[in-house]
Amino acid sequence: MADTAGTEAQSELAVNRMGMTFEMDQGVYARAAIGLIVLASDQTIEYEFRRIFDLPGVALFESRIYNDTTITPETLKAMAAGMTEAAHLILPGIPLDVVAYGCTSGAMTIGDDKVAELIHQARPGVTCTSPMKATMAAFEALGARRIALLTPYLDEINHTMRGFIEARGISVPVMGSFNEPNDNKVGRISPESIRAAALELGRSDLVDAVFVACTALRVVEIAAEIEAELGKPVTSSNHAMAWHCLRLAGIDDPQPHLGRLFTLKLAG
Amino acid sequence: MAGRRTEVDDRLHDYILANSLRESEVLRRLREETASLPHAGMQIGPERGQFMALLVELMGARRIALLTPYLDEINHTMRGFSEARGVSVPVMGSFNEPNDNKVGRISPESIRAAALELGHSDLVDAVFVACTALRMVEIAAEIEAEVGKPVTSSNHAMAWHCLRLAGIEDTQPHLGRLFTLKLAG
Repeated sequence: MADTAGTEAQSELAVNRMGMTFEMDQGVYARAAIGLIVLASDQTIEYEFRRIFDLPGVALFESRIYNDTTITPETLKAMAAGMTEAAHLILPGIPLDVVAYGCTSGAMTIGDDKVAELIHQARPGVTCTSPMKATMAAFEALGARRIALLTPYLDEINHTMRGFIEARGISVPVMGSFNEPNDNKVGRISPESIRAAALELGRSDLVDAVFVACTALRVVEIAAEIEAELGKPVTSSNHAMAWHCLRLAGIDDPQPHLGRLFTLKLAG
Repeated sequence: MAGRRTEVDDRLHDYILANSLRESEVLRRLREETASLPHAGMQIGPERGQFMALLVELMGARRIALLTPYLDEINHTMRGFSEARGVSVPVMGSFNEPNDNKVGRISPESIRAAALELGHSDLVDAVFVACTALRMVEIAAEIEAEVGKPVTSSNHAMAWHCLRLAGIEDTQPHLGRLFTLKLAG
């Protein structure tokens, strides 16, 4: 029997209650509705965001955007073409508090203003964030002025990112990278390897915080632990952006198990 | 007359198998493999296994109450779909709400009340709440306990199916009876 065939009722319908009464509440997004544009190749961001957004009335709604699995400046730029459509697919007709674009290097390459403009074509006026925008807000809240940067990217992207951060008044005297351009592999870099690299870079006297770039690197579950070992705040693309989404949506619940950042409000 | 039976010789047995057997290729290979084992004498014939499978199926959930948020036309199509597959739907109810943005905000309390009302009928032995937008997962086990019958929904059943199809058989009794079960067959 074909699964699409056969819709003939064979027995008597004893009860058919039409128009059963119902009440509506505020849905799963009673406090905040947060939209997230996820890269087609990202294995990590949804997992980490769901851990963080485990708060009553806070809901995460995702959309995927096509990207090339090999991350180069060219493939990053190409993502702009799908941005508006990806934003369109998140709950049409329901107000969102924030729309976040889940690509650190992509947002930096395309530019946060351009990303917001493309999202606004689908969602006029919505508050937008990206990993770099969120990370700058996180540095401000943490009072971090000199950071160690750890990435999985190729060297060209690393230097662009360092320049991006320094242009915004935060110095990056220490940098390290796994130099792995295959995004499918980046999602499988072990938390233990990330931890070891973050500790090595973070121990330098030249820095007062650590930032691990890339939404594919699994940092959320180990951030607080690395912080405790280093005695310095640690954040990452997903870590900072999830915090930023919550604070922009007006959710200030402290979540100290996620690290120091999650005990703080937006600065200023 | 208990104990009396027709002697089934090889010729008759071959005839029965050739004309009634509907076993899968995997089942056939398993049966043949088992036949080569030392205790193969304990094995029952495939025609008898087939009959027992039918009896088990007859004891399962075969009559369900269907609750949906859909318009009447979709409800009747869904009921027919289920009945055409051997599961009767003598009891049906609907919120008749075509706006999906509203369906996601139908309160769990309203869903619970509707599922209980339909599920209490003696005509059904399980409840199915259709539509991925209705919030059921967090209240399914509670409704089950109250109605004394298994309850599932689109997301509830599909998440379970995803897990079992992926070979994940961890039991999650807090999600309801279904999440303590493996795929049938």
